[in-house]
Amino acid sequence: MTNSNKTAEAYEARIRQLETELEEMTASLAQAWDQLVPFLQATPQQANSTGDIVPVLESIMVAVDADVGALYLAPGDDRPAEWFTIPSNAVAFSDLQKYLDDCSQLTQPCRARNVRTWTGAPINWLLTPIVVSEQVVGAIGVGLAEGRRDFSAYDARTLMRMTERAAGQIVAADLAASRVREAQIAHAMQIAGLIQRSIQPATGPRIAGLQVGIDWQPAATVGGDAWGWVMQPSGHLACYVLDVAGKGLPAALAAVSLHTALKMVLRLNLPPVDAIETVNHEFYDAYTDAELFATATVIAIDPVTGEIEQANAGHPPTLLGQPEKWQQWEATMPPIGVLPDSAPLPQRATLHPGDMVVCYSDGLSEIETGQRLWGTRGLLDAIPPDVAHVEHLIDAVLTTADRLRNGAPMHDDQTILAIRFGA
Amino acid sequence: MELKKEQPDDVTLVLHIGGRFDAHTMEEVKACWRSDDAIRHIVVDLSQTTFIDSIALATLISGLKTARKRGGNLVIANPAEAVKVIFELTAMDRALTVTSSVEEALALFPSNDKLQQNG
Repeated sequence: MTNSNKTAEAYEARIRQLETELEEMTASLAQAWDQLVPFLQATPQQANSTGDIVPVLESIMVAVDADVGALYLAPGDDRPAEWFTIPSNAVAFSDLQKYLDDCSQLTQPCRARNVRTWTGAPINWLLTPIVVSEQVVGAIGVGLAEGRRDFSAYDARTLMRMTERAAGQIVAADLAASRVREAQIAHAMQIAGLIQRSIQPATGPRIAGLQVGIDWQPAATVGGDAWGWVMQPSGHLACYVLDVAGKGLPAALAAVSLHTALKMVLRLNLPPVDAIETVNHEFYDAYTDAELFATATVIAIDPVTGEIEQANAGHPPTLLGQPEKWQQWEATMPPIGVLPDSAPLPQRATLHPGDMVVCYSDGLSEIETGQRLWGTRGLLDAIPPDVAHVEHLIDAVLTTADRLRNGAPMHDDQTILAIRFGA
Repeated sequence: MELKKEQPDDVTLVLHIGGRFDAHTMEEVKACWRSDDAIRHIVVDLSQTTFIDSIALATLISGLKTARKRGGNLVIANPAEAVKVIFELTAMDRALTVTSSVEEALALFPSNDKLQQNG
């Protein structure tokens, strides 16, 4: 036999050997896969506890032929820390904790040698952290009895891949929990909005000698604007518009409480100045803690004589009179909650038949029109000169406001109250 | 919003706020005095502010209350015309001290504060 024939035979023998090994490996892999499938099928898509990740741990143990396994989940928003081992007496968490702390800083699994089980048997561990959004939220480890064999690169890769799967389960669970929380918040906001609407009058009062019109629109489900009216024992109609700086539930809660407080003090026949001074004193500390303030204007009108008194705390100017002859009553004190002991100055006049009073919130006057705000001037210009009914005045202002927004959503709550004397 | 900070001494903070000062930028402004409990005198330069809303006003009042609680004050320096109008309409100028320049605002703070911290 020539040398070249011998070399060819050696190659053929080597090829046959490799083919045999490949067949064996394929069979082993198929067998391993068959063993893993039930575990993977049993794995929930979301992990809310260690129980949901146990099938992943079991599948890793099968894949790497481990003797023991352990799973740790760090405490989350809605769950305590959890520790699970297979078998149940495999290891104490405290014995593995220092290695877990070490491996949480690594991108590769770490090893812990000769860690004793509860029965004293030495185990060599391979551990890897569960990482979600760059945060370590737990760890998975598998162990082999001392003296069996060393963990291979294949074992490490399997552990890391399957741990990524567990991380995916946790992400899915967090997303689902987040969706549930969002739905709960949306539901709570809807109820808050219904409550806020229910305690505000839907329309103005019907009083001989006065027309009263109102439009109140929160920018979201709830709003920081509010309005109300009270017939005082003195026979005056007291009305108020208020606006809490801020948005969302805190502003709405503050608006509702201020609305109720103003209604109560006005029912006790307090004039506008005393009403604002009282609520400012009452709410100052709470507003300081919550970093809030509220603007408010309160007016009281005698429907018979037309005598009117106003108190304005930081609120946009009240308009008084008739188109093209408007008088503006500006704020005489900073908003409620700004200074502890402050009171507005009373502003008084006597309305003539046909005179109107218009109160509004800055959701209207602060509509941005290019580089400028619409302002009180713009709002005045929107009022038709021949307007004779409060509803027409309100419609004209709101129509112009909508046109200025040009289809954009409202950024702030808007309220407008209009009263005509001598209806 | 453009925010520039200066700290002439350990207890004084000067904030220059340019552009829009509103709900989107209030946290950044508040953080300036929240991050250092030693700050008790605050000057807010609003000369380059083009827009201010009610949330920004609430932020200034929060700074005023914080400064007073710490034994100091918050002073507005040289507000732009648009800001000055809002201060007047809301009567906020009755609660806030307004000066025509940062230097004038700084001069309002007691000099013994600076002597104490230097000594």
